Amino acid sequence: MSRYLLGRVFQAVGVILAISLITFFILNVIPGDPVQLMMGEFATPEAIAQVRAQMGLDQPIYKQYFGWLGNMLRGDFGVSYFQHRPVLDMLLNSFGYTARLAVFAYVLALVFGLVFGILAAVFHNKFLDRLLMTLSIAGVSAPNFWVAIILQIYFGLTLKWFPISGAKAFNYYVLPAVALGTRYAASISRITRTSMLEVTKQDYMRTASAKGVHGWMLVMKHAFRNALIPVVTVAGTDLGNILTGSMLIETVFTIDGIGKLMVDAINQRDLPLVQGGVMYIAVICVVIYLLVDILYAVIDPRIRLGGGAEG
Amino acid sequence: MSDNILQVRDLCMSFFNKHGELPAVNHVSFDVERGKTLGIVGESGCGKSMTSLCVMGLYPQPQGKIVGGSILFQGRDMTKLPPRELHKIRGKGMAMIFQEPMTSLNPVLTIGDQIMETIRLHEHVSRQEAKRRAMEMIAMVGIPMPEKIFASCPHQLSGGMRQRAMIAMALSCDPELLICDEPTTALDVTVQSQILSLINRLKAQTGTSVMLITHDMGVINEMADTVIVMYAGQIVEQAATADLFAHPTHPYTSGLIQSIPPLNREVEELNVIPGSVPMLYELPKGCLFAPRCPYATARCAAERPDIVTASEGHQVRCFRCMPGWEGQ
Amino acid sequence: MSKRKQTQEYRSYYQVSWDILRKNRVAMFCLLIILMLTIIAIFAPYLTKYDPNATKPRDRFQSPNAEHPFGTDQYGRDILTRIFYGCRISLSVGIISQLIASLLGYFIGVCAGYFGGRTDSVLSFIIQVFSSFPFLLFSIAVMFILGPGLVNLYIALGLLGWTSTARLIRGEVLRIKNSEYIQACVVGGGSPFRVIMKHLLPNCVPILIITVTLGIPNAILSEASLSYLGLGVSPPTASWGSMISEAQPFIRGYTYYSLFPGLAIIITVLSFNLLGDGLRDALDPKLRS
Repeated sequence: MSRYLLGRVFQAVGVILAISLITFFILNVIPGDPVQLMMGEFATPEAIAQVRAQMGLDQPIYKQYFGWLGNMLRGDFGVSYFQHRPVLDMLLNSFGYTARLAVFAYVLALVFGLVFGILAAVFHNKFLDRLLMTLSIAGVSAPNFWVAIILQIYFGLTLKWFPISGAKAFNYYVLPAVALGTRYAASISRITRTSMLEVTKQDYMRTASAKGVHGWMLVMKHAFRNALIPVVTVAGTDLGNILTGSMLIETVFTIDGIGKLMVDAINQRDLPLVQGGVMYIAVICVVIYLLVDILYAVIDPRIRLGGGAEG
Repeated sequence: MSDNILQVRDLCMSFFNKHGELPAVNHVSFDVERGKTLGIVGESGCGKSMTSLCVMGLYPQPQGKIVGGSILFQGRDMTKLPPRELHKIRGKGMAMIFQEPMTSLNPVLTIGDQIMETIRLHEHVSRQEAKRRAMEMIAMVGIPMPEKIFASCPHQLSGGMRQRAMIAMALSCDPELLICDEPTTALDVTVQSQILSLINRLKAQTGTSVMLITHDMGVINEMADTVIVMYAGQIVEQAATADLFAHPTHPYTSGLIQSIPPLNREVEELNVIPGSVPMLYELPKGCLFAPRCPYATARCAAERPDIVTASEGHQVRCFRCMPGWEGQ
Repeated sequence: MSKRKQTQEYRSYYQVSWDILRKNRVAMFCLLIILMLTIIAIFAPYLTKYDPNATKPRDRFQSPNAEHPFGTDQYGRDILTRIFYGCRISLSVGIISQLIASLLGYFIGVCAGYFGGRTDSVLSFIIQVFSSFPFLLFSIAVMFILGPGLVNLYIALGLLGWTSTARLIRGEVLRIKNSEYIQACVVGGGSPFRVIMKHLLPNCVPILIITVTLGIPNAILSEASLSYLGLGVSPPTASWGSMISEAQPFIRGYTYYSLFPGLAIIITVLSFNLLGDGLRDALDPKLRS
């Protein structure tokens, strides 16, 4: 177990370093001089050169990379070109909104995804299965920002049940969370169903029936725990996707989360903020994937306890 | 009531698919005597596993359906019991062990959990009591270090150990009938004989009856009191073991016995039965074995023989045992 | 009894697949829709009398009527016409980016699986890095650098969408690498290029067909998301995502505008998804009886 974990942690660190490398280099080949952009058209060349030197932009690019990486490790993500505030502060301030939205959406996705997936598998080829699978294929096919707008029109403007912008209280999060979670509820329910049907065919399910296990106990204790293993992978990837998908949803509902911050930064071409934001979200995602790997080991003893007398 | 723990009468189970109705188990009747071992033998695809799954009520549904006959277990017809009663009998009244010990245990639960589950499902005992009994069972099937195995997961055990754990699980509630579906086929030869003698020892200890399904005539010889030989869903011969080996009457039985490789001498060539078991959707019109039978006649190809008594306690489904055969 | 066998003539893998697919009514219906969408995309100018980008302030915000079946937008442009033209963007982005992605995925996957050893470790690590990077975030970053534009969309989505293909191909190559006929070719002096093109490619085609078909809807959704954020095609070019974005300020008074482009996306993406599912059922030999 600990060897497995250690390997995974090393791998995650490697992935983060590689991502930082990619992020830094692709965002530094950006056309146009950011200093020029920041200081406006009328800055003198001397002033620009001075600011460039101040920001370290006159150094060779590999030195800039290591400087940038070192600063980030110390918690210095740079300063926004336009708001002149430390990037990390801005990210941390907005992260609360994004985290709340993502957690609500994720809980919705998990609960509905798992329940629908199990029901569809238990009622395989019956009406309920067909209905749920039709809904879920529609769910994975709908763009979430469009679902968000339709929810705004119907539940916000027509029925007036929920507010359609801002994030002042719990009820502000309902529509965004539904809009964001729908697609992932659908994808989780599809993989849960497939995996449950696969498990149902296994020999140990017959053994359990032969012992007299039946009904929901057979479904939950014997089938579901085994079926969960592939579901965890999809559900883990989906958490990463929810975090990034919230960019669109935050924009639709004008919630001041990281997503909206990033979209605004992109529109203003605020390089340090974009770079910092990309790294911040990427690191969170890698950490989530690491946690998924740990969860994997908890569920599947074949990983937790290492190989035994196989064969 | 006789001393038969299980009476199967005229059992018919069919699959229904695009080929229509396919009789997988065809008018099968047999008894299992209390404390005795019944062997069912035949090649793969001959319906022996399906017969045992019918007895347990675990045949594939909804593709498969019992279309006739009865399965009397302790006087109650398993084919007519409501599911609630069936759940109570499975694991308690009758238990089953399967061919593949590698895949027949749940990979995410410990051996202890899986044995305790059976006990707690059928008997209202506390966790501690269930655990104590599970340990006892693990020790009884000859697994060293019961505590360690109790907390292990299936993938940490060898095939033989897993099969022992399966047996412990099956016997944990003192079933009246133990159904063993090819219990040693997937195991190494040395482990095979250990498992077989374990089953024999436990049978003597607990007085349980055994229904043993195998394709191996050697295993039958070692284990069974009576034998039924199945071919393409039908019983073709039924006799006491010694009688069957001494006087194999059906050509299929002779073929099976002759194809056991002899241990004591070199042979040039093994005797094999030519051909293979017919698929259920292309069964021959006459005797099911006729296409592979060295003695087949025109009559064999045209009509199906009934099962007849050849001698006391020895029944055969072959025209050669019927009056008037010599005349042809 | 053996007559049945004799009358069965030999049928190739793809003929059998096609037979299975043909019996799948949902998949065939989706194929029909995709063909229709393709025709719409190709012949858009002939299917409508309006110019997608010409503004006509007098006609703005018309509800669906005989002249404008889906109504008009805030500049008086016909929405149906813009959806027809948007179909071009969506389908071309979906198809071209997935062709790039699967080509890339195939070669990376084959190299990793076939050469093994250090090559495999390096390529597998690269696959892992790219798939750890959230796709939308990555494509936003790339489009941020490349700037809006159709070709840039092909490149961005093509260069980022190859990881799952590479992983599947690598697994398939590892599975068949040691089979006799590949070994025979290697022993017989076949160059790696020959083995890869002549022996591995045919085996990987079913996987490629499935990944392309299931990759297209994701690429279409990504394009819509990027266009919604203003990082897709540049205005006034009509794209379904940018139409939804343009429609958003008017949801209070005029809902049709945001409804139709979204429905167009759902129908397209759904068709590709269901066709992909059908293809997977038809092409996967494990599922065949």
